[in-house]
Amino acid sequence: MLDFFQNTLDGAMVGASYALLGLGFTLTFGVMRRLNLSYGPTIMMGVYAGTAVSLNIYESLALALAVSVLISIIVGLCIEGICFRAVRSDNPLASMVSAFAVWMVLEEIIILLTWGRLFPVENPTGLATLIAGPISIRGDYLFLFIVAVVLMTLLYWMLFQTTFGRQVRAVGENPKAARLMGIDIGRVSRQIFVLTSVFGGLVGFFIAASMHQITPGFGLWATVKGLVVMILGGIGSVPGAVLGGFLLGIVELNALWYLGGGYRDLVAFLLLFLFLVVRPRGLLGTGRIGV
Amino acid sequence: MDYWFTIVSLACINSILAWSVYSSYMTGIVSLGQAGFFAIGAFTAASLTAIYDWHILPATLVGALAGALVGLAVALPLLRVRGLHLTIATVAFVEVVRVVLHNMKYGREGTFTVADEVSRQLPWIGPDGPLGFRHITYLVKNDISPGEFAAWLVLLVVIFGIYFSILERSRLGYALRAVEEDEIAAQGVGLSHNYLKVFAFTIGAAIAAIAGSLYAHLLTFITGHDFDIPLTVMVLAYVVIGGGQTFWGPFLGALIFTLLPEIARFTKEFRLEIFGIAMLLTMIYREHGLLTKTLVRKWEARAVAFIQQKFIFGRSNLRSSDSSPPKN
Repeated sequence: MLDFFQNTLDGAMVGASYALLGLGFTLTFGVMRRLNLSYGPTIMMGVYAGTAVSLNIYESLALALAVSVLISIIVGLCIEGICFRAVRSDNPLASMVSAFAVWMVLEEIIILLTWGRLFPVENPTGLATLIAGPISIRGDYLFLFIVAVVLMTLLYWMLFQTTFGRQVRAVGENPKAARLMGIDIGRVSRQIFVLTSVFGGLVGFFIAASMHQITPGFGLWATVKGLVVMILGGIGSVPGAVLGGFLLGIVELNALWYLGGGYRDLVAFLLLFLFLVVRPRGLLGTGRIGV
Repeated sequence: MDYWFTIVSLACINSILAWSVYSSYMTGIVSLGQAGFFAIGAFTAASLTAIYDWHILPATLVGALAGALVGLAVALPLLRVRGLHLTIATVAFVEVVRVVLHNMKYGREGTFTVADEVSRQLPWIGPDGPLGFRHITYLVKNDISPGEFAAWLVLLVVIFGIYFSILERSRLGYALRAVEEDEIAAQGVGLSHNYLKVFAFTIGAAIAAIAGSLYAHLLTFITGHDFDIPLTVMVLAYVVIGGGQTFWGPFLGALIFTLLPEIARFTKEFRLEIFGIAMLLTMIYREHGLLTKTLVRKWEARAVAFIQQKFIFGRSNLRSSDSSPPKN
């Protein structure tokens, strides 16, 4: 029972970071109505750039984070231009395939530049493990959790309290009506790419720090986690994505503890499959697409 | 030369895989699950030939049957979902298959090679967990050269091509296309869209499993990790880049995807970048794929007119206006 409690606690802390990845997917999909498979690789580029600067030029957490966010934004905007604005929207698969092509190119660029080596990402906080009675809390997980919760709160405020958030929700609900109300859909979609890149770059850096390394496979990992969270929570639902992230983290860490590393992904994907068949709307989805 | 035979074999396997996506694509189901069926076919058929010394033909057929049964089992619950949800559910299926194969171990100890001097271990015939399925030596044991295998594969591709060209012109093909256009309207003219979708998905699964069997025997070594998400997206990209409106599109896509990286090999480490940029340009300028339906129909009409003029009405060039294709 204590094991279960410990796993659930760890899972919730990891899940907070999954939730942010899922939010990135849900927001992009809600506005664009097309799947951005390159979200993970965008984050990966940012984290690689951040760690490269921190390793080779000047070691500073703030600088690494700034570079990571900046590169994520640039890559995200390039993807928006190449895969979404340039590709016409009547075939949603075309955007998916071109995002996949970008993913391939980005991964190859990373492999070319680093010769496929993984970069160590130092634990930025240096927090020791906290021990509270029988429960222990990893310092970097706790930090990741706090960062994720702060970012989620910020995001929630932006979406539901500002003009920008109202525009995003309007476009998500009905793009045609939003355009008639005078909302520039192109601008909103660029803004949403910048926004998702910013918190993707931030949370991606801290995820990589909790793994102590960044590899060229990080893009695939982040994309898959984000997709699963988006579906679990319900496409287009912001609170759903948060819940879905926590659910995935908790289920994964319990599966890891009780079934072993080999079956960790199996449980997550069986959960996803079951959810899709039994409750396709997800935890909190409304059945229609939109933020 | 064997190198090029292997490339031809891979091109054939890829076009069969592309057609397996196309089979359900005709009804509007965008399946990202083909890598799973590919893996099931590969492991089933390779187990039968390597462990139980079957002939490759029945082994491939049993592999196809296994793929079809799993495809049916996946398709029935998936009728509840559609669109993006369905596509992602098939991705989940691929990952489940991959993890199961990655942790699976059965088979027997091999006896035909000299025991390893250092480790004193006999080779393990059959899937060996994360180490993968090694020693699929059917082609070597039966003296089938790469050229011969490639020739059989080309024959198989021709057979599948004929199947799809007949399917596209048949009542069944039009019914499948009707489901893609509008499910409710298709139901209104008396077509069971559920039945048609399950049928198309199951056939696609069986075709992918056949490709998997051939792939396993060509490579002689497979692991669960060969059948991952990038592979399955790539197979869908064959169809989207080539064009999903006729069966020529997936074929062209698979050929380009297999041959272009080989031709671009002189650019060394930049070849995948060049390839990715080519994919991007295709999607920007031809979002429905390289071969669209109007293009294919135009060329088909021209070919028919050419054949009629040259061979059927050989001396009747004066009456060439009669043999021109009907305008529609």
